[in-house]
Amino acid sequence: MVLLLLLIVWQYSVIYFKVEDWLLPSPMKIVEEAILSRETLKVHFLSTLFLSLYGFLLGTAVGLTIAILLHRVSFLKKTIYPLLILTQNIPVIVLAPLLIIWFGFGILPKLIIIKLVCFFPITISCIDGFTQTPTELKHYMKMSGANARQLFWKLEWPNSLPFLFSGLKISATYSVMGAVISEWLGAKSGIGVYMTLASSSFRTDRVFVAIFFIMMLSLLFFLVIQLVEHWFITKKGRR
Amino acid sequence: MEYLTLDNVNMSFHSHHVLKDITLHIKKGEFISLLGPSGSGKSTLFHLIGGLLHPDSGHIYLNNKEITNKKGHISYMPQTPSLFPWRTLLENVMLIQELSGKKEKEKAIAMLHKAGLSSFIHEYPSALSGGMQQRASFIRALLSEKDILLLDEPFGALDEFTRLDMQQWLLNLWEQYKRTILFITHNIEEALFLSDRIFVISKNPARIIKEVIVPFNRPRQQKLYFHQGFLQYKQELYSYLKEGFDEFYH
Repeated sequence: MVLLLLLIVWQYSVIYFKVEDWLLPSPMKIVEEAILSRETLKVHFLSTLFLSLYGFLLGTAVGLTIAILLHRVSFLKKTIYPLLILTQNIPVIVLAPLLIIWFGFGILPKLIIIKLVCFFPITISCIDGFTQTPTELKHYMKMSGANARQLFWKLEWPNSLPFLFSGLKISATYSVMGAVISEWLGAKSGIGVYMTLASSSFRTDRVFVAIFFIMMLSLLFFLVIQLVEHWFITKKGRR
Repeated sequence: MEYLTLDNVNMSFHSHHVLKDITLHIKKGEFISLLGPSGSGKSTLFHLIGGLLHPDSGHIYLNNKEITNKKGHISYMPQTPSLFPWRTLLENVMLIQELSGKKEKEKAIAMLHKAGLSSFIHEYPSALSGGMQQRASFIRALLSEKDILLLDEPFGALDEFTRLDMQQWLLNLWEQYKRTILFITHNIEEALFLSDRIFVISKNPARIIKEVIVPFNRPRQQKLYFHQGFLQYKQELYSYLKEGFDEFYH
């Protein structure tokens, strides 16, 4: 509702104030453009979709591995945890050109960029989930003779799942952003490429089309994860 | 025949002396209560027997084998039901069996049935009342192969009616399965109603003030609560507890 109202206000103010198309196109214009260039858009959209999906999966795998490793080996947690925070202090936009110098224009540097923005929320939320296991349950498992492995897989891991899912939702949105940024720096196709081309030729309508698609993609990822979460956690009697 | 023995167990956290010279001799199949005020370190005693903590001095033996600081020899039921919210009732009560790798689903179902929980077998704990959760928690403890059960104020959080019900229920089950039970409580009547022997425990540091042998015949029914002898014992236990208290505050 609010969104619709906003679009109507936008449409009418563009007409009323006679705003130039290259400055701010009306929503109608943007939709028109999207329909006109749907064939090329499809290629770009799919390319970004797969790139962010692969990056997201890779980031999840790396994030989980780091989380489990740091949790199980307390020595690693003390030494590596501060390093992890440092990796997040480097802006991706600075790191990206470096990665391109090292790894060329292929898919590898792009995946590394997405992975770098993705893994952190997953690792942090997962480790939080592990450490926030109720003490009484942990005592119970230990007194009943559970070994470290059983303690982890039967208690700490299932306990951290809700935490993991909030991490995944953040990462999913980040992964699309990471994909677009990595495409700006050089790619054959993708929404990022479409966007750079559009903005350098002052096709503001196309920039908006790109923004719209990025939003859609993020939302799509978010919804898929929410669906999986719902199945995993709500069905399992947590809420 | 001696089954569980605590020999001069001492425990302190930093400079705080929690347990002092605790010596207990428990026979197989006995129902023993440890009666004392809250915060007297009774739970610490269970953590010691369970092997979670190492005593400063003293030894713990089970069946003539030393189990000091060794985990996995006892079966434990904590104050809170401690069921895992992501497991169904059946999966929950089979947890301890999973740890040792021996799953007996039929037995688990049969026991849940006896506990009146058969219609909840595939429900998650959140769908159960507090009393039902505690029953499931007790079934989980019974289903482990261990002969000794440590029950840590299991009915402390329940309302009076549910608590009376649960006491009777526990007694009936215990008379069927004849495990050795060590039961922590701060409720005098509960201790009297359930146990063969009661150890009265003082506070700061916890030590055993008195051992009381409960003479009432089994099987026991709830009307025992109004028995003349019951009230006498209640008075006696109360005075021991008060003694321990006065000592502490003067």
